[in-house]
Amino acid sequence: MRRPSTRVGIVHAVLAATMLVPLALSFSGGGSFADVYLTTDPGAATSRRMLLFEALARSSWIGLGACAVALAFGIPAAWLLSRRKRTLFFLALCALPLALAPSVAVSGWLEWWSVAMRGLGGARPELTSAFRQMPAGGMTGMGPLFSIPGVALVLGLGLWPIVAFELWPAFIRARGDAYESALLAGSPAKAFFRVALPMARGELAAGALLVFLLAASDFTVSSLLLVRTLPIEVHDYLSLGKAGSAAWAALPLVLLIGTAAALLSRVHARDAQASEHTGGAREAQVTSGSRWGAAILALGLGMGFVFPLAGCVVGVMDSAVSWSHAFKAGLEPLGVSLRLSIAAAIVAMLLAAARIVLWPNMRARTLNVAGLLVLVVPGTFLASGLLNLGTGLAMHASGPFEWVAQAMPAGMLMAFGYVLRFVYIPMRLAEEGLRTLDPATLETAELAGQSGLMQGLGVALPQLWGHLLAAEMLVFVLALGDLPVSDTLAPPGAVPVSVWLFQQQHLGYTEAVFGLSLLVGAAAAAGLLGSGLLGTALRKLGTRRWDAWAGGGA
Amino acid sequence: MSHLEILGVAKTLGESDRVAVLREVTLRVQGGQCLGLKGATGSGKTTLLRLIAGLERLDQGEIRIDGLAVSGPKVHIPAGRRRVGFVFQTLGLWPHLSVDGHLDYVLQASPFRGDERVRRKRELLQAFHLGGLENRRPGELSGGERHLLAIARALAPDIRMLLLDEPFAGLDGQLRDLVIDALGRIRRERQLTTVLVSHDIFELRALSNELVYLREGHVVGQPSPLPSPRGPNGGDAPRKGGHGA
Ligand SMILES: Nc1ncnc2c1ncn2[C@@H]1O[C@H](COP(=O)(O)OP(=O)(O)O)[C@@H](O)[C@H]1O
Ligand SMILES: [Mg+2]
Repeated sequence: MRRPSTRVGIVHAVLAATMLVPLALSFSGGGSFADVYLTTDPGAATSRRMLLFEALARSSWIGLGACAVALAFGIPAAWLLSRRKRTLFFLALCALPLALAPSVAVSGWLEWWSVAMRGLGGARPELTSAFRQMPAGGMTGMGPLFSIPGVALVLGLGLWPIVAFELWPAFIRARGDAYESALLAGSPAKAFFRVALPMARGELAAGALLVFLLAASDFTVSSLLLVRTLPIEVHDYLSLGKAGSAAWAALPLVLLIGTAAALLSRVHARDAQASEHTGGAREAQVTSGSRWGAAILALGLGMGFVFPLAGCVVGVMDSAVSWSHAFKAGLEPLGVSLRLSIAAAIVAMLLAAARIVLWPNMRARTLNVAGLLVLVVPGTFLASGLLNLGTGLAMHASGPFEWVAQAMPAGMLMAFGYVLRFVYIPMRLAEEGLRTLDPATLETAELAGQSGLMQGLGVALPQLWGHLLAAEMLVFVLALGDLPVSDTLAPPGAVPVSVWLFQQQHLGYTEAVFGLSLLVGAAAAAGLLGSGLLGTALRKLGTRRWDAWAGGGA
Repeated sequence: MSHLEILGVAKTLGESDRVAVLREVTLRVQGGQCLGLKGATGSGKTTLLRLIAGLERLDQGEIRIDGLAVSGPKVHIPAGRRRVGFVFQTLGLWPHLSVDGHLDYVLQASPFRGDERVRRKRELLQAFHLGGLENRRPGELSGGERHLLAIARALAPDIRMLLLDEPFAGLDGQLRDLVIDALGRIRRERQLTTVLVSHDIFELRALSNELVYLREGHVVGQPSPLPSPRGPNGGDAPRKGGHGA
């Protein structure tokens, strides 16, 4: 892929800047820099600044721990994935842990913990959290999950598919001659550690970094497990109505993330160059190391998806009420969330298609960095900026523009929030897909006098619809499980399911919580696997449409 | 009959560690002639073809077709307007399109319509032994058939120049002879100016009128005329050495 031309570069920069507007706007709320960094609450032992840095340290530890867990599962899974051409369904299966909303995972793990403590049918311990009085460093006496390692474990078990998906294309490249030559000279293990893994070190770093960033900016799990991380401090300022203070409080994390995001995109850029030199990916059929890979993949799926979801099933069965009662309360919030997540997923897919069609032979590093930044900053921070933007627009929409504000359907801001927060996924998948294309396929079309748009439509898009579908389903499940954006931007009167669940969880773990957790988990899994099945089926059908299209006016 | 001039062309590639791939390359190809290009791997052959096609911009020098500058310090005619056919080393076939779809796609932007388009397609399919395979996709073709498709696709539109980057690398002896024959015939009929990159002296002899060596981005010596069995004027001299089709 080429570097974007100057004109396209400017377009990318403008788009990227637009994406970052909400982040900048969130500084304009109440509160100030001094409020966060230069004051000490009366009666408090330490300054707010100290509290903030302690929280940042906790966030970083959680990031590191989650990273370690994700690598342990992600690397073997990626190796197994790279064995041969995988169906979209299989990929969807591997994405299940990512699809399980973090709050659902917490429900499941806590139920298992309480079952282990009291036996089935015993009295459930009161896991009611007093959110505001949450002690620093986590609670003791409530089980090992309520700690920094506990949060890191839950997050890592949900995020390992990211490592697997980052590494997978690199392993496919390494699987060719390089690995096979090493195999002839030594054991498979040696070939793996000395050749395959070093060849994929860029992607390894990228995957690890992404998991670190997402875990470090987690709000949901650390809040449920009562560990005061930086995103919680940010959230607290926000709930006091001090959006500006919240933004300032988030700044250290944002700076950390910004640096890492820039680093990450450098890694990607370098690899893109490397793959051009060797002429792109190839398929190989080496099967060594697959037994270990399969075992660890199964364990990862079990720990990241099956086990926590089974915990929710146990939670529902364990309570004396009927199933239907346990589910009923959550159906309406689920409906709200489903509608908006599907809308966001479709928009995300269209964005990926647009990026492919508009710039099929150009990198879009600026867009990717901006997308990454809005993905990994604390979600509340992004959402509060969007809220400022939304209310600002509504207030100033007068005269000829008034209809805009009125025509906006309820929930549009929230769906837009989802799209913006997860826009990195369609952008990245589109670019990843374009990288796998042989540049000569596009250049031949160019030589035949086809315009850039026609190259994208006729050559790139038909080869990459699998990537589009993947973007659609990932954004769907992530939006469904998202808490910060949903919490801040929900339309009046409507409660998204993740918010409802989160509120209930803070009141205690009742059968309704487990029922709702189960519903959310099942909906995400169904959406993911359904899309996967659809994609696999479509490929099998082997549509001949493209030929008719290529014929054009003939 | 297009006349190609490459005048003092230089090109540097790479974004971080920049490599001077071509330095001061000057070459001329008369209209309808075929220039053979030989050189070690990495000597810059592919890069030179890409510059001629307009897929890369040059850093220095000028490329002219029929006396008109197409690439230069200030001009760059886009690849799609140069009417150049290119057979890539990697072929660059479209996995989602059938053989027919490939030809249709490149013909879309050409002036051929209706019957003429159909006739052109039929001719190419026949010349490159692709008859009966119209509905297959690249995944369902043999390695040799893919090469044939790539060549046929390059020849389908109304081109005035043909650039071949090791186009016979995947073909076995007999099939290669057939393809070289077909290609030579079409070249002569249409008087296509051609640049052929190859490592194989037989291929170069069979198609080129002149041979030039490239080493580390330099042209070595002067282009040497090849006593082509086909003759520079398209005469049908008998083939040497048991390679006859
Ligand atoms: N995109 C690129 N970036 C940096 N160097 C490149 C790039 N493409 C090719 N090169 C280098 O340019 C030189 C010439 O390449 P190429 O024209 O493909 O050679 P040939 O076709 O003669 O084998 C090689 O040394 C190659 O490593
Ligand atoms: Mg080459």
